[in-house]
Amino acid sequence: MAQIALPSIDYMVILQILIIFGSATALLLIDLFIPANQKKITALLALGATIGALVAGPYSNSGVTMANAVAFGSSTLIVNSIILFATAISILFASDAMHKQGIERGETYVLMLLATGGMLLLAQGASLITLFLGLELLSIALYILTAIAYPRIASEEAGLKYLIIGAFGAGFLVFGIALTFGATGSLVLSEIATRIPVTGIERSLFFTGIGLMLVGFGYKVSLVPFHMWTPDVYQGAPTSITSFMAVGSKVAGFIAIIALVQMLGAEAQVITPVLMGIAVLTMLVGSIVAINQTSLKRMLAYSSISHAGFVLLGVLGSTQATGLRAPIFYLAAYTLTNLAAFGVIMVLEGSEERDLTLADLTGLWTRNPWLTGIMALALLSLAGVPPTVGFLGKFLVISAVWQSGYMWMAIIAAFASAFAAFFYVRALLSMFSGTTDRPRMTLDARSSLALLIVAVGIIAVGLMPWSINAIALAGS
Amino acid sequence: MLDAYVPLLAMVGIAVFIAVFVLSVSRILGPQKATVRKLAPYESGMEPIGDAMARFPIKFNLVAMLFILFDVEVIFFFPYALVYRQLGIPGLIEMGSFVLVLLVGLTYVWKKGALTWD
Repeated sequence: MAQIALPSIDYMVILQILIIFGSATALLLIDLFIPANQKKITALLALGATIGALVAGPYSNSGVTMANAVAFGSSTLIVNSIILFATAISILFASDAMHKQGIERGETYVLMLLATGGMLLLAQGASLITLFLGLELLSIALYILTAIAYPRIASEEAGLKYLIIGAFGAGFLVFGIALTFGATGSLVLSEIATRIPVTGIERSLFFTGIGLMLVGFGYKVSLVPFHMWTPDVYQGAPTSITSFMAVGSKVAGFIAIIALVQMLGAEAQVITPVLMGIAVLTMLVGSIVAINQTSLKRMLAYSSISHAGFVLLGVLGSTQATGLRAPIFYLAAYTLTNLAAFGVIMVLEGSEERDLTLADLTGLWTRNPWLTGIMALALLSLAGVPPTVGFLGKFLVISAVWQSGYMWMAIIAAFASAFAAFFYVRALLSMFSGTTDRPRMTLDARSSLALLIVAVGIIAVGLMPWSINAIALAGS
Repeated sequence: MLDAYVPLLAMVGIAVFIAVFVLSVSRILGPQKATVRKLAPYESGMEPIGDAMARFPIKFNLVAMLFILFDVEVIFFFPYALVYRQLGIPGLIEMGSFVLVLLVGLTYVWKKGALTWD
């Protein structure tokens, strides 16, 4: 009998994915034997695995393996590092906050690792099936994580909402994959790129498929009009999970969108007008609706919607010669800034499960000056004020869009950014005015360390232009 | 490219035709004598004992979930059994790691007490 030829696997290409999935599986077993009040050991092990994968990045081989399903390259290295960095910080946050609130479970860290593995798979995916697999892994783990604060009704409600909307989005994605496969006869991105139909019904089927896939990913990164779930889920989930979800799933989802747009190459101009419209709508709706919010987490949710519009604009601006540095740098800036903002909210919640409002920020300066400083930094970076990293991100996106000839888009983006500045400044002012009788919050070592790292990151990456060049070199 | 899907369309057409044809022929030609038993819901030959919307223990949900887990395992094992020799050692390693991951899951639910009924 003839041997069946199996596709060869270069394990060094999927090194980071292997480390994360291997340690997640092992951790599920190890966690069974760790007593309930010692779950910080599980957190420490998960943190070790994440840092291990982060360190393993530069040692991975570039290339494509597993029958063209998974790829690794220099821009993947940057994206994977952003994802793993966000996971490490989120594990530190979760370990502190969930312990204080009495909702700490070992499964939290296992699920966070599994979601991270899904994100890495999404970032390294070179075929449509891998992209779908990555998205599902990421989503299913996040559905459970959203609802993990078990006795809380708000958390369960958010989990259910996320599950139903997410399943809906996944349906769009699968149907899009089916149509694309039907029109081109291939699932591998590089093969599809050479087989884009030029005429006839195949062409309409192909672009219908691409459109449906973009809707599927649009749900994940909360582009308007697929954003309705975002505020409810961000508000209901435990804050440490919200920060992980807001950052990780957005980075991974946008990498998939970038992969699709790159696959289209010159044909991307067919869908560019639609995506431009969506980007503008996303920026404006996110910025304008956020003005009316009193809940801090809802405000940040709308702010994340508005930022998604900016990233999409960056993706469209860089299909031309500028390379991928604008969207990838923006995602890195978004990651640092949101981790800081959600981290401060999480510390302010302390052991309560109350949803914090703008009024809770009043007089924060008088009780926690350091926390106020970090929150102010995060808000300035969200608004895009120099010398923070958020300014550089916005600057790169708007200049990329301007250079690729969409002047009007750049002007609208600048206006949306000015709208958005309004509510960031309002939160900023309330922190420095008035007094409060609420007690001073104490910080655990884990949260302090995580907050310190992201705060230094916001300033350092914002001040040092070489960091853009490093990312630009890797990303182009 | 789309020409490849013409046989598929033909098969869908034939399937729809047979379904409609058989059902309508039996409707037109068959005798229609309704009895109490014929009108009752089909419960595999048992007498229906009440509303289907009754509450039942959540444990059955867990059993169904565990069943799916091992059902999926079996779906992978049948084709593997057919090409066991051709796949050789690499195939054995792949299937081994697949079972190992499932085993971790089983250990987890066991230790969490999902396999005890009360």
